[in-house]
Amino acid sequence: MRNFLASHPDLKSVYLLVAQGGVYERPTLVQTVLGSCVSVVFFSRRQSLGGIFHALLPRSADYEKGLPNPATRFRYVDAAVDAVVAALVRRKTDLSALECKVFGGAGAMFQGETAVGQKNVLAAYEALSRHQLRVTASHVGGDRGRKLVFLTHTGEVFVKSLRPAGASCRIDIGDDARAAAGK
Amino acid sequence: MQGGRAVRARDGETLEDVMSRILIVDDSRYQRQLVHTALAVLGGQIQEAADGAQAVRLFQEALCAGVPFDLVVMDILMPTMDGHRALSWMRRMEEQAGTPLRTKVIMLSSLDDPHNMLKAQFEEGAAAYLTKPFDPADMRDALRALELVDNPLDGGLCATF
Repeated sequence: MRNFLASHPDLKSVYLLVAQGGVYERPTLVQTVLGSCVSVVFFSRRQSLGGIFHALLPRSADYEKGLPNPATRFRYVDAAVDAVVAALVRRKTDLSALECKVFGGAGAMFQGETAVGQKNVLAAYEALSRHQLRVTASHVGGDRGRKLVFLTHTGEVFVKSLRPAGASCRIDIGDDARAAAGK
Repeated sequence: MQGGRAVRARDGETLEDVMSRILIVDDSRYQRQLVHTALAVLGGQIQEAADGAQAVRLFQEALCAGVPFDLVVMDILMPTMDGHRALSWMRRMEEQAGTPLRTKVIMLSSLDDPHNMLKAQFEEGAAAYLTKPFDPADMRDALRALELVDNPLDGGLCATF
């Protein structure tokens, strides 16, 4: 990736943490690492415009009362889909031609949290379906985390399955997740 | 073989022994041809089946012969036996045979509802799900993610961060 960035000096690089996301008008290389969390990648080929989020929990209503909180919108899969779709609508994106891809939702990495990944993925599918958006590709589930790189101006997505927990590259998403959830 | 993994036979192996073995399952000959073209980058041996039952038979024969498929790309809506049932049978056969690695499966269907996508990936262990009509670039991305072709993210992964 370093070589890639070196050969594309105009490309902005962003590392997406848990509960972050957005729409990128400038060509951007967005990287993130997923365990049970979910990322949805949105791409408008006509506008060469991409959006992405990294959400931790399935539904905002299960954790927060009242109106959606802009400060935590990317923490929850359903609110994050709403937020990115709203941002694309503001940019006059034709939603009927939008390409959406779903990643993450690994299960067995963290003991006692085997169902969280699946719930996150289901929340993503349902939220996209509510907006009548079609999922063109998904790479979800399993027991390994994923590294994801998204080029917002071409729509290309590179995914790499990480080594199982315990290997030297282990990422303790569990702690990050608990911290981001305020637990 | 451009973009595919370099294949090299070791002592006692023929090149045929180490090439990818791929099964394409779809009741539409046109769709099978599209998938065939999209998988050309793998350069392996490709077999085709026109329904789930035929796919299960070929899968079992390969398993019994000790040369299981490396990749199955399968439709869901097919006559005789659908893709969900076929994949469930394949997983059962692998379990009974005690194979250490499960065959990588990409579901490729016009069905894009949460139920079918979730079932294939969480209950039946499909590694990826693509919806028709599919973009060959998405198939390439999936092959990269399944480590069947070279991935630019290979090597230096930990060092990147």
